[in-house]
Parts: sequence; structure tokens; C-alpha cells
Amino acid sequence: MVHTETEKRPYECRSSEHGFSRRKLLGMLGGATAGLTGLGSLLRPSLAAEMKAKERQVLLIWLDGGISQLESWDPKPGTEYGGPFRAIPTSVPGVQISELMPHTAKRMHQLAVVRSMCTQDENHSTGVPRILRGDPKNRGVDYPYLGSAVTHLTPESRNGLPPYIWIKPGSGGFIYQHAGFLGAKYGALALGDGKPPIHIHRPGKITEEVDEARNALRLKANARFRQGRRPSEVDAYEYSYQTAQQLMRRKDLFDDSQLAARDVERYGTHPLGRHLLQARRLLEAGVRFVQVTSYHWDTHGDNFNMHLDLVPQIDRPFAAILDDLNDRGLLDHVLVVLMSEFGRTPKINQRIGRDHWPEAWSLALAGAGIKRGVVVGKTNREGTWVDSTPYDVGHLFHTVFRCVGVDPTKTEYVNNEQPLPVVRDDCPPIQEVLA
Amino acid sequence: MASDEEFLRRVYLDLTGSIPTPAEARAFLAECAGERGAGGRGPAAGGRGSAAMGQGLGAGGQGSGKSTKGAGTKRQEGGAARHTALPRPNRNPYPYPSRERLISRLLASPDYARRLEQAMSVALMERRTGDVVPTAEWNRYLRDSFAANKPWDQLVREIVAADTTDPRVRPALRFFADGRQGDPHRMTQDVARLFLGMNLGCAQCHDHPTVTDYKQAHYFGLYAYLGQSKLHKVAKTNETLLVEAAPTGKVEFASVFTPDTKHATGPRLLGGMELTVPTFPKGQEFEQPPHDGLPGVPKFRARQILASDLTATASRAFVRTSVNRFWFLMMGRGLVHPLDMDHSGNPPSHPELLDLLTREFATSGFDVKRLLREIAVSETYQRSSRAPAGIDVAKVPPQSYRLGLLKPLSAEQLAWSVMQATGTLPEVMKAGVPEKSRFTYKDYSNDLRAEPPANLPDTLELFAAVFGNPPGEPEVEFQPSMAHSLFLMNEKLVLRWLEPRNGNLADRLQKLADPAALAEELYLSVLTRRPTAEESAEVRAYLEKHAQRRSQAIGELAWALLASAEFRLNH
Amino acid sequence: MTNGTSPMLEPVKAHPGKSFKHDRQLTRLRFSPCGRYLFAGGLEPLLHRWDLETDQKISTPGHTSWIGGLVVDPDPQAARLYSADYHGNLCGWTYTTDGVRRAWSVTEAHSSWVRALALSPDGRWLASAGMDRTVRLWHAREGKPGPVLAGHAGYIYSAAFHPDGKSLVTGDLFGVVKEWDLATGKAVRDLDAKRLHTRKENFLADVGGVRALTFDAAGSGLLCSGLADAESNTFCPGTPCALLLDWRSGQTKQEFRIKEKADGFINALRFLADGTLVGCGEGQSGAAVWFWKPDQAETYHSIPGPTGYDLDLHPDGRQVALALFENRGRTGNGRKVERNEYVPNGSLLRLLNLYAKV
Repeated sequence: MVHTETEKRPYECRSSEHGFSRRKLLGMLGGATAGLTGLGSLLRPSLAAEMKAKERQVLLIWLDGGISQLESWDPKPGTEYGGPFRAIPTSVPGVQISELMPHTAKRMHQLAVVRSMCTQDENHSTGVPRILRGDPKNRGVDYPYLGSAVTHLTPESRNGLPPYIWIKPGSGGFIYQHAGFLGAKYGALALGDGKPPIHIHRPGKITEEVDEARNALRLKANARFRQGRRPSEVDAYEYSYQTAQQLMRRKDLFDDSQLAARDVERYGTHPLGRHLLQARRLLEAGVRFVQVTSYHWDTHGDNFNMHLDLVPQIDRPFAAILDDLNDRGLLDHVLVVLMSEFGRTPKINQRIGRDHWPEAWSLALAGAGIKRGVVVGKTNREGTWVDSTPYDVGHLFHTVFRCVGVDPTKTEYVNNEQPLPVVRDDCPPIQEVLA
Repeated sequence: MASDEEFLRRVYLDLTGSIPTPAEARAFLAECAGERGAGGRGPAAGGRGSAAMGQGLGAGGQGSGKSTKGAGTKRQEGGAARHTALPRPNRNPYPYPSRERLISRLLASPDYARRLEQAMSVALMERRTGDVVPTAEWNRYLRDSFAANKPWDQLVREIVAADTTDPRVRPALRFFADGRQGDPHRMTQDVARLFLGMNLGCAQCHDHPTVTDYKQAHYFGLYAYLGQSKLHKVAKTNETLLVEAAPTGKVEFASVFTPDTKHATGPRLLGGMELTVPTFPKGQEFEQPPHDGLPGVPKFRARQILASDLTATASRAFVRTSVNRFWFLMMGRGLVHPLDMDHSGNPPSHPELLDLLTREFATSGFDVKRLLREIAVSETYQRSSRAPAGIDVAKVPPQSYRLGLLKPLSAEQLAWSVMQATGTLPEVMKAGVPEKSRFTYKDYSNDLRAEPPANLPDTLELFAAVFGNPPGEPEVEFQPSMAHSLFLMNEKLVLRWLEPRNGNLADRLQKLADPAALAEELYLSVLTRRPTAEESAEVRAYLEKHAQRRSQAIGELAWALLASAEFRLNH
Repeated sequence: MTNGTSPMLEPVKAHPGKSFKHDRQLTRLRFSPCGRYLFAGGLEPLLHRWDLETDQKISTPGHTSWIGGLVVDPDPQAARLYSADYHGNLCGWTYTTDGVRRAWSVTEAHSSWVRALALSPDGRWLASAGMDRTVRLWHAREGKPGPVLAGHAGYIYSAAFHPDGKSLVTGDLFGVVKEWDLATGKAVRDLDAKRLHTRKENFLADVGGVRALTFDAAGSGLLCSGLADAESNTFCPGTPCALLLDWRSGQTKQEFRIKEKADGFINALRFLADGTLVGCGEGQSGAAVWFWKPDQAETYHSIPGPTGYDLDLHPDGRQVALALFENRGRTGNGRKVERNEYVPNGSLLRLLNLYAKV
């Protein structure tokens, strides 16, 4: 449950019995917080914000294990740690990135690259959840991952699709853990290698006609049960069926045979290519938050041979999805974040690998709310340390929330009567990237 | 008041974790009918009883002496006189011997122990697992404890002490070792939350910002009991113990807002005295010095003191939150709610009642069966979840308990009930269980394993994976998700259970030529009630419309009831 | 090479000789045929020479990126060597007691990294190969281009001329070793070293490759070394492995492994005069110099040390030089590292005498 600082809500609002009204309320409260919109004085703030926020979607591309900033966004050719790769010019004069990203380089004018990330955790097991939770202070609760947080804090979409879909290699399922204290409802629907959960498929012997007939019986039974009873539990249960049925109706979103061959070629047939193409379809369909994860970027060994093969796997499909979102006018509505849990050590280890380096690394942003064609922050000559204002995950979360229309300084979670900030209160957003 | 049917389903689910079989339902309904004369569906069915609602909850009243029977009271320090004076949560103006007999039967059944094992395992472990104590051993420990009606204080004492090698009690270690990884802070938070009703999470770093009762000093007073505890693996036996180091004096802490102002506390329970941590000359801290790879046993063991002090009759917060949690288990909402927010700013909805139950639970010797029985026989428990005509449900606050609350079935209740309803429970229970199951939900849900589970543990794992909360998230509220609905709509195991075979529900139904008889068997089996005329007509019409595919149509009728809110909720 | 006064080869009694420290990682290492000089290059655009008589080092610029290939003319009179870098540049050098002089250079001879150089036994042909998957032949003395040999599907990591001077072998990422007929410039056959390549379903990239190729003196056996059974594409753990292929049949005659627990690449291998083998590789287990008998899979001896990136046999056959990793300052995952302590890792060049201490 979210409320503003001025508005204390009783605990009951958190219980799911208010599933529907609560969600509407969320939209309105989100609005009350988003006094930033210029229309604020003309429209009721709630409405203005709802309109603004409704359009906003997020694509989070997560290169798990840590892409090397030196082999991507922050090349240091010819320096002691720079590695053998060259830097190439981009579409933004004066800005160079690694030669491993020629396609992205041509789209630099659409991006905001932050080269001054400096974070707290050098371990994956703690670093990944810590970063995806916004590195909250310890308040004795499990904070939601970014995807759960955004879907909770923004109004419900009308498309009826699951708001938080996570495309990942390997297995899928309903990943409730991401929701933390927000509760299972805000977990991720994970598509293992892009495939939907098995239960989306109706067994062959149940035809569409039969399915309608049996659900009609179910609805009649619910209507009878509802009489004289509190409607909220019944509503919430019905809603879970509606979402399920909507997903079943949109099986086309998972049908690869409907993809244009040209798209498949542009994105690439490797997992990141396929998954980003899938992400584009989901974003087009209106899914609020899509995360695409690629594992195995943790190149402690043979870093340079590996990056030679790995970076092109993000370069091409990243460029392709930027083009497609732009062509469809979606880049104004979709915030794109490309990042890892940290960067890699400038120092080259005994396996000619690079280790974990949270001290100075880079990430890229594009789309909704983001300034285009900027590089923010810098590292020193050797790329070892941040040589400008360092930014932590808290800054990033403030930035992301602003971009989706949530003012984190005026919005709180309430968990078990405990008001909780949605993000660290000691970090401002990264102003230089905000449009 | 709830009708006999409503009561029957509710009390079965609450005390046995499953809906009854149709035979059990028929027998009970016949018993009730015999008691009251034919035709009685329940005293409040006609809309009576609103006048009684909201009156004097806990205002005292005459208890029935019969309530002691079958309650297995082992420690009756309180004495019989006191016991018979026990007021009910609300005096039941319609005492039905048939209902009381059913409650007694269920409490005495082995299903009761399994139900409490499942419910308490979820409440205590919050679906966290580990590998120190195998799940099966922990389950058996809980089941045996509830079967023997082990006093609740003793059970909690064993859990907090966690220091025995007695194989019957050792599984209690799972709470700290697997549920909290032996981490003193997590142990502190969960002891506070689950056994004291206080969510002190944010008091670890500073006084609670909104709850004035929760101070950082409380957190560290409790932490001081547990801070010396840690897991220790004995190399020789490969056994993990939760050992205590020798005391090192008071625990220091400071608020993050005033980091320069240091405080210190010894072990202290909220509102109690601070214990003095004794100091021993070096080398004399141990009762039993470390030897043979075994850690030493210190003379001063704060956790052991906590185990007994926390669970003492005088430990009011403990007794009170224990009662509150059992009340929640039966009623769907704590008298103090949220369950872990017991503080002066969040008073109980019915303070006298809670006080009364708290006193009585302690004097009864923490007799769980007796407490549950007292709740179950009360009018409050036996109220209908459906408002009489003319009453606006929106105007009946849930904390008034004037209407029965709608409680979600737990994953275990749901698994059991779906199998019971479809008549497949006997078959699944009979199925052999391999020594080491190869079934995992992950494989199954990712289409890496085609065959659905065939035995009971695997089936329960499947339901728990779909309907349970993620580890560490308490299961308090109804949180239906798309995953649940997709599962019920399309899971082949559920659909298979709806196909006729070996006397299961579908098999029994298809042999009934008369649609009215079929409707009755269907509704009694799935919803534990007879159909209304409208419902019976609906069944008839559906069967007529799908006469060419009658067998499937029967399955669809049954599915619709399984998938309905009425089935999904304990109402 | 051995005479009556020299102690006999006895690797189990090997003991260290001279050593030199360097402030960057050196990954390529060769003796001059006279045995006086040690040439090396690594993760910097410099060619280094250590004079083993004076212990003097001279460093010569001329490259623009890391050194990926280094080879020395076996004829002492020629006094030539060749090097290549990750920008595809090739250099020919001459050396005297005074120093090293560039004789010629070819800028961007390859479009990408050069990872291997090989020189024909007569010193006339230089072969270069790398990430552009081509093998290029050069008239070594002049730096003039010769034929281009195309056909590898994977990045090329290694090259060696057969002792008879008639053919060249090159090894790639996929464990394919191609034999090229120098008379025709055609690929004659593929030899199978696929054991040195791993691609699992969840990998993002192919892992391994034929990292080094070495013939025995008679040219009847070919050693291919690298990593088998890689477990991931990140740490590149797996089984250090070398294969001895029978030159005539192409069949694997013997597979060599490390006795101790180890993972990572075998980076370099040489036959010793007695037919036994010495190799070096990643020192994760603490041992990084290994000795095998030609007919036994497991090492019979090993010497503890950090990762060995390359080794070369002294012309006298009784000592090897090793380019070992040297840890400098805090390394590994970083957080709160002192800025002034942060320096690149380096190398230790170590000579190892393969006989008992006198």
C-alpha cells in the first residue's frame, strides 16, 4: 500500500480484500505524488498523473555477472588496464565507446550513459538482490525488486496482461520472491527461454467452447456465493482468472512462428537476441515492466576472448530494439535500462580475466524521461575510479521512479503499519540524465 | 448462525485441514436433523440472530462443563472450578450437541495433528527450508507434539532452547537453524514477531518511527539472549548444533540517528528485568569446557534462560500472542491484527476477550486443543459468513466478527480438499512413495518432466509451490494470483482427477441417472452442502444440453465448483 | 647439445635459476638460438629483451597493442625475430649485442588480433594467424606477403611448422587443427583436437581452443594443448588437457592431464631431449609447471607456482624459461581498495634448470 506522507491509511487498506479499489487508489495516490506534471494545475493531480504514468513502461536489460565497462561504455584504449580493444566514435560527437559495440555507437544520440556508477557490493549473491532492491537500508523486511516495485507503484494497466514479465534463460515460473513484502501478487512471471508457463496451455481435450461453458458455470457459482458476502475476496479471485484468461488469449505473444524473419535476423538468434525481440512484443502489448536477463557475463577467466564474443550479443539486439521502439513511437513511453550488478576490475587477473568492480562502472539509459545523447560522469585516465560525482543504486532508483511518474520523495510503502520509503532517502536522482 | 453445512465445512477445514467426505457430511447432517427435527438448516438461516451480533463478545457467560472432555488437559493447575467458569468467546445461545460432538471427534482424530502440523509449520517456518533438520523429521515432531497435545509453552520452549540431542525433540532446532540460519538478528526478529507479537524489525537500528512502544532497547534486550548463539557443525558426527558462546557482558547499541550516544543492555524481555550477565574468570566460563571438537557449554546460557522465561505463564506478551495466533487460525483475523503488531497504539478489537483467553490459556497449562475447542464451540466461530437480508456487509467491519470471515484455504488445505472432493485422496494416499523423490516443481512447471506427481508428498509439493507464499513471507491474507487460476484451469493432474475411475467423484456421478441425485452428490462432495433448487436445475440443464458428452459435462460441472470462490475460501 | 660434463636431465630435481620481474603480464617468451637473450611480450605494446649475461633489459616500442605472437629465427647468424599484436600489426626485427632494431613492419596485416606466429625451420616463411580466421604467409626476411590460407571456421590460436618444412598446422577455437600443404597452399586435412573445445547449452560463448601446437623433433607427434570439459564461459574452469596426436594417422596417441586438482588452460608445452614433456598453465591449484612421460596421462612431477603463460626451452635443452604471473598489490574482487596500491599485475620471468643442483 502506498500513501503520501500527509495521508495515514489504516492497515486494512493493505489487505487484498480491497484488491480493486486499492489499485484505483494507487493510481490516484501516485497522482497526488506526481505534482511534477505541468498539467497539474489544470487537471486534478490524480488524473494527470494517471495519464502520465499509465503510458510509462520499463525494459530492464540485466547482464548478470557484470559486463566490463572497459569493453563497452567506458573504453580506455592504450592505458595499462585498457585491454586490446579500440574505441570508436559514436553518433554523438566526441563520445567514444568500445569497438565491440558498433551498432550501439550509431544510436548513441538516443542514449544516456552513466560512467560514474560506484556501488557498495562486490559479491553476486548479495549484489544482485541488493541492487535490484535499490540497496535499501536494513529495515527488517525484504524490499521488492525493481520490477515488483514499479508495477506496484504505477496504476494498473487495462490490458489485463501480467504487469511484470521476466525473460530469462533456463527455467521460468512465477517468481514470487521478487515481490518481497509487497506480497506474491507483485512477483514476476518468468518466461524460461521466452516460453510461457505450461499452465497457459489448455489441454487439447478442453476446447474453447468447453472452456467458456465451464467458466460460465464458475461465474454463476461465484455470483451466488457473493450474495450477502464480502465481495472483495470473490472479486480478487475472479480477477486472478481474468488475468489468466487474458494471458491465455495472448498466446500469440509467445508464438515465434509469427515473427518476421527480418526481425529475427536483426536481433540475432542467440538468447539475448531472441529474448529482446520477445521483450519488444511484450512492450508493444503493454506489459508494464519487462526484464531481460542474460547470465554468464562474469568473466573472471579469458575476459577478452569472452567479451569479443559476448558484447556483440548485446550490441546488435540492443540497437535493434532501440530502433524498433523509436520507430513505433514507444521510446517516449518506455524507459530502457541496460546494466549489471557491477563492472569489472581494471586490473587483469592471472586468468587474463577481470574480477568484480563496484567502484567505477557504467550503465546506459534510454527512453521515457531520459535525456538523449549524453554521457554523465567520468572515470580517471586509467578507468579505475570515478572522477566526478559518484552514483549509487539509490540514485538510479530515484531516476527510474521519476521516469515512470512516481515521486519517491512523496511516496511510501506501508508494510504492516510500518511506513517505508520506496527508495533510499539519502540520494537524489541523477539529474543530468533526466529530460 | 452458520447453517449446519456451513459449520461442517468450516470446522473440518479448520480442525482437519480438509473438507469432509460426502459420507461424513451426510452422517453429520443427519445427526443434526435428528437432533432438531427434519428440515432445520441452521438457526440463523432465516435471518435471525442479528440482534445477538456484536453483543458482549467476551462479556463472560456460562461455559459448558462438557467442554473439558477430550481436551486432554494434562496440567490443570487452574483447577476444575476455574475451568468450568471459563466464559466463551461468546456464549452460544444455540448449543448443539451434534456440533460439539463433531468438534470433539475431529480434535481426537489423527487428522487434527496433521492439520496443526501443517498450519504451524507454515506459521513458524514461513516456508523456509534448510538442510540441518530434514523436513520429514520436523513435520513428525510437530505432528507428534500436537497429537499428544503437548502444552504450547513446552513446544515453544523446545524450539527456543534447541539444545537437545534427544531425537524426539532435536527437530525443534529447525526453527532457528534452517528457518533463520542461526543468525542472531533474524532469530531476534522472529522470536519477537512470532512469540511476542511484536515486529521489532526497524527497532534494530532505531526506535520504531511510528510505534512508540517499540524501542531499540527492546530489540537489543531480546538480542542479548540470542547474540551468543551460532550454528556449529561437529566435524566428527557431521551434526549441526546451535551452540552458545561464553557470555561477554552487555550488548552495546546506538541509534543510527544518534550514533555517538551508546547504550548497553543485558538480556531483558520487554517489560521485564534486565538480567545481570555474570562474569567469570578466564578459563572458568564453562560448565563443560570444549573437548573432542565439541564446543564448550558455558555456565551462563542466555538462550536457555530465554526459553524458559519467554514461555513462562508470567510472560504476558507470549501467552497473549499465542492465543491471538490460534484465534487467527480459527477466525481468519487476529484479535490483535496484524498479528505481529501488538502495541498500545493498535489495541485488540476485543480486549476483555483476549485477556480472558490469555489468562485461561495459561491456567489450562497451554492446552491447545482446549483453546481451539473453546473457540470452535463459540457462537462467534459459528456465525455465518453471509449477512442476513437487509444487512449491508460493507457496514460490518471485519474486526467485529459479526459475520464469519472468508479465509483462504492454505496450499495444504486446498490440496487435501481437491483430492477429497474429487474422490482421489484414497488412491493418492495409497501410492508408494519412493525413497528419494525425483519430482521437482521447477522441472514440472518448465515442461522438463511430463508426468504429474503420483504420490502424496509430491502432490503436496506441487500445491505448495503453486499456492504457497515465497519463503519468508507470512501467509495471512488471501492473495490469489494468475498462477493459481492457470493451475486450476489447465493442470492435467487436476483435470485427470475429474475423469471417472475407480469410484471417484466423476465415476460415482456418472452412475447416477437422476440429475437431482447427481446434483446432490456433486454439491455435497465438493461444497459440503446440498444444492439449492436453482443449482440443481442448472445441473440438470447443463447435462441435458451436453447429453452427448455426459461424462465430460459431469467433469465440467465438478470443475466449476472446484474453481469457484466458494471452494477456494473457508467461509 | 649435451656433453660429458653437463649434468643429465632430471626434471624431478629441477631448481630455479635466474629470474626477472616485470611490471606487466608477459604472455609470450622465446630464447634466442644463441641462448643469451630472452625475448618477451605481453599485455602492453612493447617488445622486451633480457640479456642473460648482463641481466639488462631493453624495451622496444613498435607495436600498438598487446603482443599476440613472438617467434625467433633458429639460425643464430640470422639474428632475427618476429612479433605480432592485437591490432593485427606484424614486425620483423634484427638484434645485436647493442639492441633490437625493427627491420620491417606491416600495419594491420590482419583485421583483428594475431594470436599465433610460426616460422619455418629454414627461417624463410613466417605464418601469422588470429581472430580473423585466416592464416597468412610472409617472406620472413622481407616482410613481403605470401599466400593467404583460408578455411578455419573459428578463431585461430596456434600455429606450428612441421620439422620437415613441408607443412604448417594451425589450431582453432573449435579444436580443429588444419594441415596446410605449403607447396600448394591448400588445406590437406583436419586433425581432431575437439576435446579442447566446449560449448554447453547455457554458455554464451565457445570456450577453449587449441592454445598451443608443438611437434616433436622427429615430426611424428603433434602436441595440442588447452582446456577440456569447460564448465562455464565465465571463470573458464575445466580440465587442463593436452593431446599427443600421431602425425601419420591423426589419432590421439595420448591425453595428458594434471595429477593435482587443477583447472584452466595448459598454455604451452615442449618436448625435452629425452622425449618427456614440460608444460605450464594456470596455477589455480598452486602448481603451474608440469612434467609428463610421453606414455602416461598424469604428470609425474610438478612445481608449485603461479600461472605460467608461456615457456621456452633453452637451446642447450636443459633449462626452460617461464613467463609466470605475478600478483602485485590487492587483486581479485574490488571494493575499498587503496588507490595508490592499485597497480597492474606483473610477471616473473624465471629460468628453471632441469637437473640436480651441483
